[in-house]
Amino acid sequence: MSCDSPQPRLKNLPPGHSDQTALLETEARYLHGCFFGNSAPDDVINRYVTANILCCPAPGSLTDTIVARRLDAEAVELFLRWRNKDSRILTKKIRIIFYLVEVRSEYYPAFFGKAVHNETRFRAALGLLSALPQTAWKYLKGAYLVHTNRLSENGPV
Amino acid sequence: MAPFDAIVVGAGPAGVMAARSLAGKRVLILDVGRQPDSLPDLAGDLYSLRQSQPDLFDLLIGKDFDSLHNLHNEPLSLKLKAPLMRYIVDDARSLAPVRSQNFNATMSFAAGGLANAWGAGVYRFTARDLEGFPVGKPELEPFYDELTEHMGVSGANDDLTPSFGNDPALQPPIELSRFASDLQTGYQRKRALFARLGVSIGRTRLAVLTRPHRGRPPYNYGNFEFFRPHDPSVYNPVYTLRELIRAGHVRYEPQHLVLRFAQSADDVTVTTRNLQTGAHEVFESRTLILAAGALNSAKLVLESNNDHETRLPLLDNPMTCLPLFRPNRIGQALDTYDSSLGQLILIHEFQGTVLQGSVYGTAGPLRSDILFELPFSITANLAWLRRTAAATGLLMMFYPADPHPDNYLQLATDGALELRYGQPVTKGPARGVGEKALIPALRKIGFYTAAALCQYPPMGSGIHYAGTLPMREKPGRYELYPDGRLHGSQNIYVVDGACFPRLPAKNLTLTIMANAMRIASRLRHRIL
Repeated sequence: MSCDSPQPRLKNLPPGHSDQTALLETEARYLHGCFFGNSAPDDVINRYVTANILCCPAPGSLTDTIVARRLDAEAVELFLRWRNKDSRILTKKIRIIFYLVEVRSEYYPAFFGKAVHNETRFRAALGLLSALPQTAWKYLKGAYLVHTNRLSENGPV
Repeated sequence: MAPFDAIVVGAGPAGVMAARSLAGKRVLILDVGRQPDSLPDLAGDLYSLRQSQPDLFDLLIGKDFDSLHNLHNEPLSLKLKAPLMRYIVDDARSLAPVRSQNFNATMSFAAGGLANAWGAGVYRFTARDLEGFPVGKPELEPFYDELTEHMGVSGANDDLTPSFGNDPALQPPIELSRFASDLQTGYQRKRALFARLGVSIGRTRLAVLTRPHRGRPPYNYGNFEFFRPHDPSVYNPVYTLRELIRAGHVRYEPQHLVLRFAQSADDVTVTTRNLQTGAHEVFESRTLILAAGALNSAKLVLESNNDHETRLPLLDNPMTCLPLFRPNRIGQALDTYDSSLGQLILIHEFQGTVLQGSVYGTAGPLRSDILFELPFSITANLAWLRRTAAATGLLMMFYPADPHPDNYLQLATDGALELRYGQPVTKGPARGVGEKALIPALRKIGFYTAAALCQYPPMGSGIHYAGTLPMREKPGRYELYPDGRLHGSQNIYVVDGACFPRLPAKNLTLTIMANAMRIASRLRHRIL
């Protein structure tokens, strides 16, 4: 398979999409950093921009606020996701990041672990159980951030 | 030009098998016939590729972001949204508009039909499955045998033989993942317990080769089923279509959307729209065989009768999806040699009804497709998926389906198909009840789940559409004689899932093909 993927192309991009580009690029870097720490590859950033124009054509003021105020995107997303089970813009944007990085080999360990690595069952069970307090903490943090920043799905109230 | 002996509409499993059974006659296949773009030559397995290739965006997401389809469109099956798979359903809604209530319809205008993405499960109907059909098992059996030889079928004669019949021509079954192997071993240890519950577990029977057969290689466990069509080891009606074309047994005309037919005493005229030129074209034949799928065959019949009033019955198997968890396997690396094909079959005789389930691994789809199905924070979800990759499977159960006045198809005056589905109707237990009964037994062999985790995909998700033009001993209007002939016609036959008067809880493709062969073989002797 080719490593050099040409720039993604789409039919019928809406007019004015280039205005959003800078915002979306900043968003991509921030959201990527929230989950993967390191800087996002240029391909991921470019593809994120195009994918957002396709999947999330309405500008996301909630995400703009999260990026501008350097808020914990994961915490806010969890709180909003639990509060309303319908698909939401922030969840969608984060999903896009995950789709785009999953197909890159450098992220393989994040999704699948090391190729032949087996954790002991005890360690794995501990890891699974830690999801509960970790999620509880994120939920509470998300509730706090949403409340103190007066956030909603449509941005700050 | 002299009329053809037979025109076959559609080149899916039914159409291709009907055409094959008419060898020696002048047969025209009219088809839209979408084909995939050029397919990459992929060596090895998907997971090795994911580790070795820096960027698989083109293959797994697509330049038009095809794999993100479900983020901003009505959901498509995960197997139909990858870039190389999109041709299977692309344009279907524009070629055959649908308005539906409570029914997620999936249609294909690809050569080979939805079999381009099928799970390849092939299960013979028993006499019990055929109750209510005006066709018996002895009539279908020779065609089942012929199909086993033609396609190559792998599986085993095991505890499920009473449900699927003894088949001496089976190739060895596909190798099991560790997860599925554990389930099979646990079942065998506690066979008596499961027998008391009316449960049998055994190997899937798949139109997938485990040995070379008729020039096609055996399955190599590449795990590309969700991303690349036309794996030569997985049967596709397109392979038979190519053989028929090469041998000169059929004339195949793709790029034709059949609009309607008209019959006279001696022949049938079929009007199409040529999708390349936009022009209408007319073809003549002594016999017309409709194999456009249960939805589109019914649409053609209604359209040709200019009927916007009649409601035709609509069937699909209700299904459930139950995750299974095997704690013994947590922390183990993903079984990358796993197959995303069905691993095991579970037959559950419950409250007088036979339910059928398939056990799948989770190696098939993108992780990002299922990451948000878990209820935790995203980072925790990802860690869960990583740690439970080898410990998680899915049990997908089918329930039988019987006709009900609330479940129907109708042709609107603007040409759209209107599909309505009320409650999923089965004469047996409601969805979820059978699964609940299984949970304690599964727990005893180390597989855990909960009734609350059972998911109920919308009706239409089974993609086992049937019953729109049912066969009867004594048919009425818009029904078929046992020989497949449409009531009120001399020379129009229907051979696809539209024929089925009801649906047992079993994949129906093998029986669709066998029945199409049965109908066409009889027809062949009548066409002089």
